[in-house]
Amino acid sequence: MKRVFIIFSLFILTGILIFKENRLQRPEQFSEEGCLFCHKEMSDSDRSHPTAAFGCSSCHLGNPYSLDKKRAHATLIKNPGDLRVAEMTCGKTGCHGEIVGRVKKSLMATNRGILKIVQEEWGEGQAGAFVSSKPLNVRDLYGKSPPRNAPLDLYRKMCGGCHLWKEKEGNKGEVGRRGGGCSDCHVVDVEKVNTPEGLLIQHPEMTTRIPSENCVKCHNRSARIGLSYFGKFESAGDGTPYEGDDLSSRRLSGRRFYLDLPADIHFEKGKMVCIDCHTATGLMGDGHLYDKMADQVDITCEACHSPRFTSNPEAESLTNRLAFLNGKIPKPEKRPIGFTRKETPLYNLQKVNGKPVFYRKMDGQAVKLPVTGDLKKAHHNLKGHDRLSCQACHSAWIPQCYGCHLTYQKSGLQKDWITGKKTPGKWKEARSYLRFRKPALGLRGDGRIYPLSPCQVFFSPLDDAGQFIKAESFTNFNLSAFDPHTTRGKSRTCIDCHVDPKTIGLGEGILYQSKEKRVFRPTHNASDHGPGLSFPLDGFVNLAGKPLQAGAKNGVRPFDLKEMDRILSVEPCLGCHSTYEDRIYQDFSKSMKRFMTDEGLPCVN
Amino acid sequence: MCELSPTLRIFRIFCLVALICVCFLLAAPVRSISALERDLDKRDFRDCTSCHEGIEAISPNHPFACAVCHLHPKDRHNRPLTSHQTILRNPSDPKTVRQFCLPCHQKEISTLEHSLHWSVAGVINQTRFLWGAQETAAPAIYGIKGPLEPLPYPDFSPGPQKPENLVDDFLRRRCLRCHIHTRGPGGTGLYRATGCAACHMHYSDDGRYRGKDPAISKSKTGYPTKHAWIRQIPNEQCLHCHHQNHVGADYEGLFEHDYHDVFRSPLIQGKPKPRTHGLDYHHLSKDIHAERGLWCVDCHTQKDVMGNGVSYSYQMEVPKRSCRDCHGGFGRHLPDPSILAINKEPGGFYFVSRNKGQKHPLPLFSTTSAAHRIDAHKKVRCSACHAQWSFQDYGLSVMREEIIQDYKWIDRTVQGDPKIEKELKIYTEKDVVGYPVSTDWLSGEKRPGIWSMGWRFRRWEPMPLGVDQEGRFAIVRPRYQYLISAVNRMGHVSLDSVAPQRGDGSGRGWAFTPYVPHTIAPFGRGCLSCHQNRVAAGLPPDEKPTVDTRLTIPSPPAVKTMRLLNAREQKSLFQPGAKWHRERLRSRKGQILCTQ
Repeated sequence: MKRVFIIFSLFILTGILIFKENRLQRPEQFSEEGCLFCHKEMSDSDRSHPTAAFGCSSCHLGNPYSLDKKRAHATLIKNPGDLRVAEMTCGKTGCHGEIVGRVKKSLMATNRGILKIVQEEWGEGQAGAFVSSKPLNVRDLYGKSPPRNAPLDLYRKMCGGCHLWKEKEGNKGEVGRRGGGCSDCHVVDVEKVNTPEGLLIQHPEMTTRIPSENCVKCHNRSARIGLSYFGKFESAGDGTPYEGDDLSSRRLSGRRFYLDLPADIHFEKGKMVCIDCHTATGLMGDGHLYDKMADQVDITCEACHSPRFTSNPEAESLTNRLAFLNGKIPKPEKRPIGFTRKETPLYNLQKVNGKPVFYRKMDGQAVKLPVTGDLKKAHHNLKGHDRLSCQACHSAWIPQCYGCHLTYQKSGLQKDWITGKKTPGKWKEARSYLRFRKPALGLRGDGRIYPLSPCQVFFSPLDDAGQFIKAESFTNFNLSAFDPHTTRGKSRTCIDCHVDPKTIGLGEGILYQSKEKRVFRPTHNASDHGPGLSFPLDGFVNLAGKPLQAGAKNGVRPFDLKEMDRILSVEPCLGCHSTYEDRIYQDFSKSMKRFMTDEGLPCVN
Repeated sequence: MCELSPTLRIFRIFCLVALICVCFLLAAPVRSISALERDLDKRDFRDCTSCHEGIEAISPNHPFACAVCHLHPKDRHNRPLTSHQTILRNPSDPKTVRQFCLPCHQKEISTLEHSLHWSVAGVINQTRFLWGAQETAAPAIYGIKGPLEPLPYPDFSPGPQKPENLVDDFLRRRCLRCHIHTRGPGGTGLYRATGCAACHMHYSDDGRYRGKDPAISKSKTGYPTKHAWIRQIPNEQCLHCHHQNHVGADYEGLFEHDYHDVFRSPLIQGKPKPRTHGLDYHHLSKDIHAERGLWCVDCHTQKDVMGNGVSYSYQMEVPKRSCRDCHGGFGRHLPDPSILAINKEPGGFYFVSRNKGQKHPLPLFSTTSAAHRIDAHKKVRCSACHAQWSFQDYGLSVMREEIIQDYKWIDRTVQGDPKIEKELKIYTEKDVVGYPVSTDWLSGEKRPGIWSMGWRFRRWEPMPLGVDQEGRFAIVRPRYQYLISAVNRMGHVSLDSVAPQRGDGSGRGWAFTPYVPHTIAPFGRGCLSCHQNRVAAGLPPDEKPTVDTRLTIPSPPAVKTMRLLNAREQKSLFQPGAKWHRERLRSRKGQILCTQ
């Protein structure tokens, strides 16, 4: 009986196998990559990764030997660029191993700066200050028992949607396009094309010619560099002028609107995109863990406008490979090429017939590059201006957001971008006002003078009953110095900096010089403003040179008294002596002495 | 048993229902309406003080019985007055002012009727001109009421609508909530009366009664603080109309926040500050006179405010007390001796304010300051240099909608008008389609349609110059750069962000107007805030202005007697004469320019 049963079972089993095998479609001849039997029309992702050579499984893993969909797809990775798997996919030995390691240490993957600053806002002794002595990376927030405190909750809800560890799936709109590791930047977002059977036939396009949309999908808040460069300024949100029966179509994500301002000259005249300047090293890191964007960024104005050309064989192979990948820029072969401050070869800056030529990465077009000659002129070599960054004079505007009134409702629910779930703790920001004109100037940690933008947090925590918790509330004022990406060929005028109290950092107001002393009457009225503000919102420093808003430990500070004195001492002369070439500026202190003591000068007679 | 006929059956049901009704009526614990009326009948409403015991006497000059002011003669009969409705709340309302106040105040009332406070002619005629509805802005043609032509009833004829067809509706529903014929929308900072009482009956910002009359609720809003005429009018009272980004608010250092809800700030204890005048305000530097405690009425005399009997067409041409009258100026260095508030004492001149009689030392025009030593500056208004900031509201988009089919106004309902805000809030839900209504402040009726608005950007820093009707240099501000949209009941867009054309065909109906910012500082702005300054000269701010930054370039005023700078004047701003340089530097010589 038992034997009969076994034979019967085997018989049935065989039957099922034969039936299943007959149902399964098989290739007529042997193929290494079983995937392509179903996905036969799949296009190539790019010229470096042809499907014919790479197949699918080298990137997407899965089981290429199974013709059963479920089994073949069991270990499949939809997005090989995800940093969680990138070591097995993009970064496997022989491919981009070295890059994946760098990317994981880069700021776009770590967000170390944001995590540090946001925790610094709460400061020492405040509830929810630093939880760990070692600097945090975004990666630390994933996992079972991540560090938790109020600023990290703020990060999770308000910032955590923009970094390389974010998974690309599961959200609509702009936020759904963010994240995905390598793919975040290197995949061009296009509408998916499926066959009638529902099989994807259009492989997402991969590229090193990264379209700026991929950058701007993230870089459109905070410093808003991705907007400013294209001449967009986030407006106060009135949505004007109206179009038909609707608000303006000049929209940004999050129901925001923009105004058109003068765009960066690199975009306006050169139609250059982000990656024309921003090198692989600057974007994907150099292997070091940085806290500040300025430290990671590789490109400088000087790299192109005052270039150093060399030809070294080591860089040659890399530049030629990069040019090949790019596919548009003429291969430099053995031409001298430019280098960045971190010694990254700029394969798109080549010396052709003894002249520097800058090629656009998107279309390979050569762009006119004003160089060195200009830098020898008086306005670039004025004594006293040696600490000025190019940005200090050439940035036409900077987005300025005054007053950030932040509430934290402990009982409210809000989406945590790290986990994708709604959790208790709801954050909301209100503003005082926005401006774009007349960036104030101050000093960055490296001692160079830069345009400043404020970050002014007025924090109001509310308990479960919605009651204000005074003990946990605080105000914190910071200044940040960055390249606003609003470069214009024409610089700001002498008067803009040497006369205007706002540029000097005092804020809008009347700076009056009586015989005895300086008097400053600020326009913004701190005393009427409300909770404990003792200086104007746009006052970064007072007349005594005391910094008022440089709270963060990022090294940025407004001018001090000595510097203000020096800047303002030029003011009286500017009525007549309004050019850099003017003789009085060759030795200004001597000229001043002469003005004060000598009789018979044309100035007053 | 025979069946009941249908008629009988209905009758039986009817009887049953009637019985139940009677039972209910008999059992009802409340008294019927007629019973209540019977109670009231017993009361004679002419015996006011039986309820209003302790109400303030309105003023020593008005020692009248209540009925003299608050009842029409026909109601002052001997029979008991049976209805409270017959009582006039405010006899000084323009509808009844001639009947009640005229016998004593004939001169005041007839001059007031020629004043701009009565006619609002400046706003009406300039807007109508800019929207193409009339050929000139001045002399004024239309006013709220006579003696000028009354503002026409809006044109609602179907067919293609142009800005000129819409301007009267826009004025009535959006601008004219502030005139003394209407109480306006009410709300914090907006409570006020009409007629004489608009100024002379004090309302606090919260609109609550604070007097001794027990019959007037202390918790209800919309009442004057006391039943008393005032002559010493505090600024708060003026600001019940002169708020938003208009002169008056600037005197107190107020500048409107942006409309979007994200600007409901700062937070006090985690919540946005309560709004006055329908919106929250930035606090900027106050006018130095406000800082010292001077009131609007210290400078603005009865003649300014209530008129001198002459009909003026716009605010700038109304003769007013000038800076020079008190402080002296070019040519005359001493105060006008006819000003009673100024006393000469051994230590110098003093000004006695109507605000509690406070005495202020009166600084005189400095003859030594560099700017005052330049003859060309005789043609410059004091405010052109001494104003610290100004209202620069760029790009005003307005849209009249008779149907709202989307929720676009979400986060944008706060537009400085509580009534509009309330109505717009209804249409901020997704999938709500509706037909909004709003009030015509002239007729008082509610009509289909609502005017919403928004700005491009608003700033207080730029101070462009123009020339006023007396040929003096003055700060100009945009009033306004309209783009007009209109959507009819069927959702058809008849106007799509159209810039109006001026009524004389001279171009686009966008205007900048010379004005006097009430943001005076004790010292002037620096020389270079006008000289060698592109913004002051009215030039484009950038080499290549964009569609938005171009809005800062002034366009000519609506009134022909005023204008922008001409090329020669612009040139003299950029290339001032040798004297300018000398005076400027002479004042600096010997001064410590550098502390090192």
